[in-house]
Amino acid sequence: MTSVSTRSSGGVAALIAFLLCGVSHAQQDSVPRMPDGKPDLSGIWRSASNRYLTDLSAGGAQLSMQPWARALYDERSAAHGKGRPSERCLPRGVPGMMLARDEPWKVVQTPGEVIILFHESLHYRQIFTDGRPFPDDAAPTWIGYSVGRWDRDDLVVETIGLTEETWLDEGGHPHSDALRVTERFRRRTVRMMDVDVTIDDPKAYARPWTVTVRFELVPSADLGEQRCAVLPR
Amino acid sequence: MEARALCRVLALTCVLAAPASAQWLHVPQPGIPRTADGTPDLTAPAPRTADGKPDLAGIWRRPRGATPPSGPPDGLAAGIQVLFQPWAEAVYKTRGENGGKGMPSERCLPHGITKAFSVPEPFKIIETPGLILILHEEFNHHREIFTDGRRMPEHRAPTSFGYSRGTWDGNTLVVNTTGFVDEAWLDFRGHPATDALHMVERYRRRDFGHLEIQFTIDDPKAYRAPWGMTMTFDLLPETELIEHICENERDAARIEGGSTP
Repeated sequence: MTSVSTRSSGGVAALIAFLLCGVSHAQQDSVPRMPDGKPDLSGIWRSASNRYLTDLSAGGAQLSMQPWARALYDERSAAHGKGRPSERCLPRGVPGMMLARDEPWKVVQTPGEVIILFHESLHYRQIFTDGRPFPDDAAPTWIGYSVGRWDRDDLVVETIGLTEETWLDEGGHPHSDALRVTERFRRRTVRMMDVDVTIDDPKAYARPWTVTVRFELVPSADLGEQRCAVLPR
Repeated sequence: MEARALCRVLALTCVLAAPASAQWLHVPQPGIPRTADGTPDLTAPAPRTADGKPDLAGIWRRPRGATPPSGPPDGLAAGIQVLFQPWAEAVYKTRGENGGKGMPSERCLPHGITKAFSVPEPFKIIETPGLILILHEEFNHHREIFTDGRRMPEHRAPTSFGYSRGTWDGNTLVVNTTGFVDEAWLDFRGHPATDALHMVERYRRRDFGHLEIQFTIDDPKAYRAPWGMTMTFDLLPETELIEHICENERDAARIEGGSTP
């Protein structure tokens, strides 16, 4: 009786173990992997909607804007976003340049670097995953300086050095030179990736805030090129 | 007129180049060949990828005062005779007389292949299995060269850099590109190209520190015979590209003021 019971519970354990392993194995199989076992994020992706492009705080992120940031945001809102950099073919910055549904981007993953190629204006981002630190003197730029590391199956990308001229979204959420953006890329399935975007900018927002943006795989082999022509004054 | 044309081109180039020369980033690069005193050995043999092909990876820049130049008087055709179609010759003449005014990069549109390689700013080559990337510092523009044997998609919209496919001929990467936009500029001087352009590039990394690219321009709508030239590039070891975004909607005003003595 005891032996039967033992065998029985052993069988249940084995069954549970089989189910668990089976499920976790199925999940792993659904995401392509690099030779080193890390998830392969390669592919052409685009935002599932323009929701976060319009308003990065959509979905209820609680923002506590500093007074100057609130005033600037209100001013931009009143002007319906007029004067935003993308009007003049300038980059939307990070995370803005990731968020437009009509502007897909392509991930190319190499051992020491992840490159993101953009359809919009033919721009690119480099994310260094070779363990290098941020440069001592990261002059402000439109796309910033990005380093990445793997946290289990998530690629965690941190970006600093973003010029204050970029807007976090087309609605005009501002940021300061203290901005640090963290993007946590998580490929959930072959066709779907979530990115947790954290805005940490104590000069503009009293507390860091995070939103999760969903991206879809674009079934195309060709990124193409969007041509944005400025008219010199 | 010639002098003004040159001024204009130089002004554009210098204004655009300013951010690049402002500073260099030092990025230590383990595993590169070094001389006895520890500096990178630029004459060591070219590295190879896992499959035995030459690895073109690195940050490259045209040597100072490189020939052929890209601006007046003859652009990339310095020292060679180009057989224009009549309309193309007229366009070329007009562009010279106008001092390069109207070139697509004034409006921050991409240079295209030869013009992008002809600027002083460096570019980075990244070689992966099946795909080679070229990241140009100037304008932060990228280009893809597919080496996985794929064909050009049908009904593809033309682009400034075209659709590039690469194959290996011994140690030389041969890149065939078609699918270009019409009314392109091949250099700052204004050699025109059309949507009939078929560009062939032959990339050869002579040694660790030196790359050459031989270009053949075959565009029967604009030229009565193919022509071409070779550009050489020096490796910039242990550094990184510096972002340069085209802000010509601002620079235009500065150039107007700045180029007047």
